[in-house]
Amino acid sequence: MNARRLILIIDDDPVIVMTTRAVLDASGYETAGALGYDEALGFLTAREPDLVLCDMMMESIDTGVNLVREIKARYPRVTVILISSIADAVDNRYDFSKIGFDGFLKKPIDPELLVGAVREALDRRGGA
Amino acid sequence: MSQSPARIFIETGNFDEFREKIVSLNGEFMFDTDEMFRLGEAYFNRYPDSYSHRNSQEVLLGYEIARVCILEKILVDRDRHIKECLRSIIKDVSLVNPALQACVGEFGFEHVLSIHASVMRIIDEIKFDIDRLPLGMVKERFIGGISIFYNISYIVKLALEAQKK
Repeated sequence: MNARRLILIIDDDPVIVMTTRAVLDASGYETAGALGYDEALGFLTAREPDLVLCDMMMESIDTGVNLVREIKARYPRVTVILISSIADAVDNRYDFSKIGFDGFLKKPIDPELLVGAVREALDRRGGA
Repeated sequence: MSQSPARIFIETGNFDEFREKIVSLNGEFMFDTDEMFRLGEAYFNRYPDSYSHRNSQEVLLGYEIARVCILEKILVDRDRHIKECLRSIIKDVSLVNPALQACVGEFGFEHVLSIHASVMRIIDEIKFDIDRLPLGMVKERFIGGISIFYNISYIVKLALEAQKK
């Protein structure tokens, strides 16, 4: 069941946040949005989502990577999918296996692929 | 000869003027990979800080510049009411259902379905040109720009499927 699974979408572009929320709302998930590093951590302090979709480039080129590290350190139960539009350009900058995210999607994301990736990640996570 | 959005961007003083000029062209402007790159370069020349994402308003402007051009290409030769419908959905995705109901009421379900299919074809064609851009920040802005059109098309598809039932 998708119902009541909470997904936090983190992106500095409010239109991306709005439309991604609409895609996931339509699949029965509860969604929330945050427009950057501080707003995301502020949200997490108040409420722990089941899954986070985090854009890589926000305030700086590696804000998303730093945020994922922080989320995983503070909230290890939260599933995190990192999203990037420039993955090819920055692949060599990071050892992605050490960042700790649970999935990776490249923009522009096919919404059906997104819904499938979220479902699979939550299934792997299991439980409620 | 088609006009150059890059040239228009350089010649207009701000985003509103740029958008107004692009909208007035009814989609008759260049928008292939080379033109996207020129437009991206003109944008980064005006807003060099946005290259390293230090000024988020200017970064968002980059996505908006891409979206204005993409939307006008999607709207080429559409009926005025279809244009209004698509523009309202782009502005506020929560308007998908009422906007589609109005369109289906006026044009019929099958016609609206065919419009959705043609919109998807145009989005894919534009994506093909974006894919050919060299890796870097110009490409990043266009990918960010086009991303919302995939999301919105998906929501429209779901709404149409629901209406069919």
